[in-house]
Amino acid sequence: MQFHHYAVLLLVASFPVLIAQKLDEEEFSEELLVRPLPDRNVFAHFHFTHRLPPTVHYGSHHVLFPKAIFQIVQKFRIREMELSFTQGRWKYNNWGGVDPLTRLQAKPSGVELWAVFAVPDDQVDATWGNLTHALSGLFCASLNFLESMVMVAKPKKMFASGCGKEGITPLVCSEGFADHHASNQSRSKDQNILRSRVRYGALPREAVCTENLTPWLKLLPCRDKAGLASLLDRPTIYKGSYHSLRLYIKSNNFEEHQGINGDIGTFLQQTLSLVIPASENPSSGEGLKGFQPNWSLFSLFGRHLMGRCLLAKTSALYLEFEAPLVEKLKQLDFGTKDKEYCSLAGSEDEASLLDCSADSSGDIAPFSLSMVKDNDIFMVNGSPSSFSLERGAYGNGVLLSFNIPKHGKQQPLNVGLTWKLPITWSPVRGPFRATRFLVGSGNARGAIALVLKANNMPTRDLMNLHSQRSLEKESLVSPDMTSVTVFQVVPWYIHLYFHTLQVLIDEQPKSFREVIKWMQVVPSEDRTSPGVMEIELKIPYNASVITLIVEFDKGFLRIDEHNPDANRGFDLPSALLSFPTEQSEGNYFHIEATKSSAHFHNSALLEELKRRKSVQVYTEVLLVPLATPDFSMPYNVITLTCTVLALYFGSLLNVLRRRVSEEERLAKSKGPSPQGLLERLLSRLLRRRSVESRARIAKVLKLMLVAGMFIALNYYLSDS
Amino acid sequence: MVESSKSDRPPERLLPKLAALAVRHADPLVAILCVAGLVALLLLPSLAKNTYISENALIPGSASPKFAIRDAMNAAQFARDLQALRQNVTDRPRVVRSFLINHLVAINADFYVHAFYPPEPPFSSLNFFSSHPSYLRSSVETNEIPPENLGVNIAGIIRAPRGEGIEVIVLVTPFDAESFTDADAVSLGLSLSLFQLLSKSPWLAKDIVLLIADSRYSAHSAVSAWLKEYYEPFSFGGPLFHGSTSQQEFYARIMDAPFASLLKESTLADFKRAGVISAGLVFDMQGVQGRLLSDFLTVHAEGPNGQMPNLDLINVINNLAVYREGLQMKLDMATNILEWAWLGIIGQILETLGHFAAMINEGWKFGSPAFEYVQGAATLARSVMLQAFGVPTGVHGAFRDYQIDAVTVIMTFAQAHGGQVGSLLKFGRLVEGTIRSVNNLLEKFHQSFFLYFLAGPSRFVSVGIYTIPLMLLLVTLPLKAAAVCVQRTECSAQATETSSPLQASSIPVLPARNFTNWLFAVLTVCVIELWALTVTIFPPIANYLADTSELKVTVWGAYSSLSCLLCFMVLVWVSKLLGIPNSFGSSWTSLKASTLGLATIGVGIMSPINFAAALAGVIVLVPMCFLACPFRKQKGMFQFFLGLALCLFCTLLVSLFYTEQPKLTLAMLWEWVECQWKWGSATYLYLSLVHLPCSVLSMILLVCNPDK
Repeated sequence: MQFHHYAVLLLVASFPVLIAQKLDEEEFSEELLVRPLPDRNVFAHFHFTHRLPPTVHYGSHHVLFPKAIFQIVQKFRIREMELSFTQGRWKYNNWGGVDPLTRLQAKPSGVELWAVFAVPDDQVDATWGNLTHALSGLFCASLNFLESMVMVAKPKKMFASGCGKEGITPLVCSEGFADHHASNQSRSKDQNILRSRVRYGALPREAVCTENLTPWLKLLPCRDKAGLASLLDRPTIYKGSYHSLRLYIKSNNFEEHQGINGDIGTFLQQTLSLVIPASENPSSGEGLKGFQPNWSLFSLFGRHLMGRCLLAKTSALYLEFEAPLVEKLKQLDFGTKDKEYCSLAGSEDEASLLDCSADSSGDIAPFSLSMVKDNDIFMVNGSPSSFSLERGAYGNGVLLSFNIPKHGKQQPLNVGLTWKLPITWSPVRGPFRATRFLVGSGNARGAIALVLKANNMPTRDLMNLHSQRSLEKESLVSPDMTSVTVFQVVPWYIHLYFHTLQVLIDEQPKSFREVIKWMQVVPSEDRTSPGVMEIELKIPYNASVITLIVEFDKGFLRIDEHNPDANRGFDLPSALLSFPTEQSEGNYFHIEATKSSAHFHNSALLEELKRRKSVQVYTEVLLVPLATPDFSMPYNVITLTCTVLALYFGSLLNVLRRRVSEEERLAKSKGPSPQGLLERLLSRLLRRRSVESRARIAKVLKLMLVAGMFIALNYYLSDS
Repeated sequence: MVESSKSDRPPERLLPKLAALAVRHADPLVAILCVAGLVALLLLPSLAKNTYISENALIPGSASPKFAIRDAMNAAQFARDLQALRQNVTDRPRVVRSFLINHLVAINADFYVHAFYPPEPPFSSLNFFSSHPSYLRSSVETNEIPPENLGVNIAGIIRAPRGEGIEVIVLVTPFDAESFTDADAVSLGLSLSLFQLLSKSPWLAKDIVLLIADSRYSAHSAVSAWLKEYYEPFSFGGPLFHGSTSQQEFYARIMDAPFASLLKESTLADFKRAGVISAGLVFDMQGVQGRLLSDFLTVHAEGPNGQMPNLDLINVINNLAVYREGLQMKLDMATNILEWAWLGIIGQILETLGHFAAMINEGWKFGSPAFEYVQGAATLARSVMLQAFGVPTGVHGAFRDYQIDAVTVIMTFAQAHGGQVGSLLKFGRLVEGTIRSVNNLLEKFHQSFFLYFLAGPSRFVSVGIYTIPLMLLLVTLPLKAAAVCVQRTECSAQATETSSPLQASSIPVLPARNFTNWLFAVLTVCVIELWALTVTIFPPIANYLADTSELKVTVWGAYSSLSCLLCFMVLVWVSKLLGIPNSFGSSWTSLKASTLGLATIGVGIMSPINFAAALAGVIVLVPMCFLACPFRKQKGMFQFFLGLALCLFCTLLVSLFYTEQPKLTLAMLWEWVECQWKWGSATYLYLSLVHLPCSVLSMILLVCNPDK
């Protein structure tokens, strides 16, 4: 059906394109995932994906794929790149920390950019500089400040690719994206090369607004005129407490073996994640205390979803219920009926899980579509096309899919949620909650502390079990250890003293040999490169508090290196923590469908979420107050210096030029000193007076003259 | 004199010439400078400028306040609820804490409980220079302190919805859950209501922390403990609790059971931070005064060692209170000097002088009405005194230790009942407006003054003006010292009948004698200074030795006088060893010069540390420079009486700084020393290391006999 439309459109446009089967054609898909959050907010994730066949087969003329991006990829030979613009902070504790979606979209506030290039090592820096300029022009952001290597890091492990987005160890990568055909050896060699071609930079202070959104929307084939993007009402999306605009590119065009196995040539992922308050009209939300606010797409965005983007291959809307909410649902809804449910914990494969759901199918099945759609706690407005179970490491969530109708055929799709009972649930939190803060006050010294505290979640045992499994596969760390990777970039004016690095586990200082598995530390160089700290720690499982402390000295900046708002302080970009042993992955098991749900199987969003990745946490941005000069001082200093210099040179010249004894001799031989104009005049007028009295009168006259001048000046000034 | 010898001398350089001239005519010059300094001091109230808001980003009052009648009624309701909780006699703190936590849960804010050790008793440690109060530590590890004795702060955090959480404004309400008054309940009710309002505010750019400080041991130590944990968490040495079981036990003991679940998620005990603190606002309520017609607020701002918050913070509060809410802002005032006749006369004189000046030129008008002058003088005197004491006037002092601008606002309501909601509305809007202004700030406070005295709610004396009297007075000391030295050399030169007096001024004739005299003078000063140092650090020993404060002061005084006598004897013995007959008498000029030098250095060092103390001190030190002269000298008598007269006048001036004439008892003196020691005030060091030795040296000078 879509294909038909697609072809019609192309014919109308009289664009002769060879329409090939499968991956030999361009694909675009649009998806939206909505999830109610426990703190009266709603999380909405817009997910747009472009796929382009390899250039060797397909050529470089495209129908859907944005030309601007393709040109950038070709010109700068980008292997992989991710750019994110974020406003606000993702609250890991309130909104979830381990689910794959969080892993995908939780970004540090401001701008973050990292890229992997397919250029020789010596050209990487130059290419990066050009890329930042190109992107800054494309997205109307001050990304060009990342051009100089002052704030740019070369991470060794953190962003090194080859497997999806993160290659912590080759084994974790094995399930990754597009490298299953390469042998292990060549891949590790590849990775070593790749690692030297990764660049990472962040601008924590960058403000994010519509000027960044508009060029981002222009990359979509339907812009915001049709399809899901038409929901993006600007005031609404900037009103929320979190807003993250993201662009991810991956290209296989520069691989040695490109085009084999029908790989995707270039892959572009555009996501927009929002957390928006759900209570639009206060009368409905606040009247009933304890109730979660009811919402619908229209009440959230203030616009109707009229239809799909016709150019999209898949266009879908998902409503997700988190695992803890589903648990609550089970307890509240069916707990009293004393039914036996099949246990979903453990390591069932897909078939047994399906069996399990089949067993309990019927009117009172826990996971039937009708039950999820309308139960004692909430009611879903709209008719879901399919229903699937989301199995993570921490429990089972539920995902409802909705087909987006074609434009104008039906009523607008207004999916919503109505609560019937007051309910609270806590989200799935990560293994640790991380905070980073500055220790000490004053303008001279300080320390950066990074504290990880274990979340005592009830599901932690289950998680441990899960991790144990993954550890068996890895066999790199001993089974009772978990590991954390810390990646931190610090600008040069914070002189980190790496020898003061301390790792405390449960308040006990540990030796490096005990806790550090691997580390890369690059000291900063003044005005040239930042300090980079990349540490992989191994921690016992039962550790509850892990603390990292590094001391620093604050540097002095030159007057032209200060920001315009220097007294505000200077921002330190977020640190990135990664937990390689804690995987965030979602397995989606399609359970029940009412209508045709062909899109479900090739949903780009769910495919992305299925990918195994380690849990990541970004810490807060820090503000470091540095010693700032009084900016009115330069003027004072200049005047003072000039005065001192003038005095100095005057007296020096005087000393060099004059010969005192010589002058005295001359003065003696000459007799009385020559007289001034006034004295000569006086001597003519008052010849009878003595010389002394004449001199005295001359003095008095001079004084009077000066006083008169001053009085006149004062009079003149006060008049004017 | 200079002109006559011009012909046979090489032309002199200007600066040495001027210096020589100044030293030659030192006495009249010193007198002129002294008088000028004192006049400048008296002129300060009329030289005060009107305050203005320097930082444009603050824009106070630009947004209409959101704190409505409903919020004020909420505040009153909270206050009533809290007052009702007071009925519970058996376990009051626990019930109150549970109430507060319930409320914070309802607001849906981040919150946590911060437990801290009680502060150490005074003099228990010698860490004088670290101005943070020290906390009991070792005794807890051996479980000497029961958990009930730990202080418990409750803090709530509102995360700004769109902010990045890198800056934070802290609101502090001191509250003692064990025994609180109605006024405390009202102030806490207001802060809770404000917090509720702020949690729904979309305009927040900075996070807000509400700290309900446990004022059981003094609110200052509670806030200080919290700030210490906030900024220096690892300097404490170790965790408060060993193991999670003791922690859980503790929390189970201090609050109700339903919060156990909160503890399980370990958010309750988790010390949460929210970035750099950009300002602190402490608000408290003094109570209700029935006699008043209108509500007013008092602002306290003096931090440790006379450090003040940025003037803009006070300006914003004053601006909002006066122009938007119609509240009166008051500052502490030395009320007793309002009736002083001589101050009134000076005010009158200045007023008439101002009129005359205005008649000559409209631009020269400087005077203000005499009444305003007296009021300004009273406020200024109080401001100088509070800064000079070096002890913070409120909880905001704890913030100042970390270079955070903070003030204490104390509310006073006019009527007991009925009008309370109206007053709460006004104060709520005031605090909301202040927070909003600070929230607008892009940078930290830096535009306006940090060094100033307040001469009224909207009048201030900036650093540029108030240094003038100090400089004028201070410059007399080295001038007099130089004059004394030159006189001495000239005297000795004349005594040896040298032909050319000019040569004598440059080459000392009796170098050996002179040298021993100088050596002895410097030695005397050093020994006395050393003695003063031992006297300074004696109080902890006295505290250990005696029980009552009177006895402690007696022990201290006895030690001081005995050791002083000992020092004197040592000095006499040394002089005999050096072979100087009549040691003090013959070297009295050197001794006087050294004393003056000591005074100059002392005041000079003190002026950047605590300007107000230096200013008040120099008024006492300068007459001493006139007074210090051997009594038995010919001119000594005259000089003594002149000095005495000046001294009396200066005492009159210094008396400006005392609000109430207390009956100076020994116990009060001891309390004062204890207070100074506790806050690490530099004023104590200044008094004991500069004023004490200077006065002892002056006394030695007074009694020695040069003509023997």
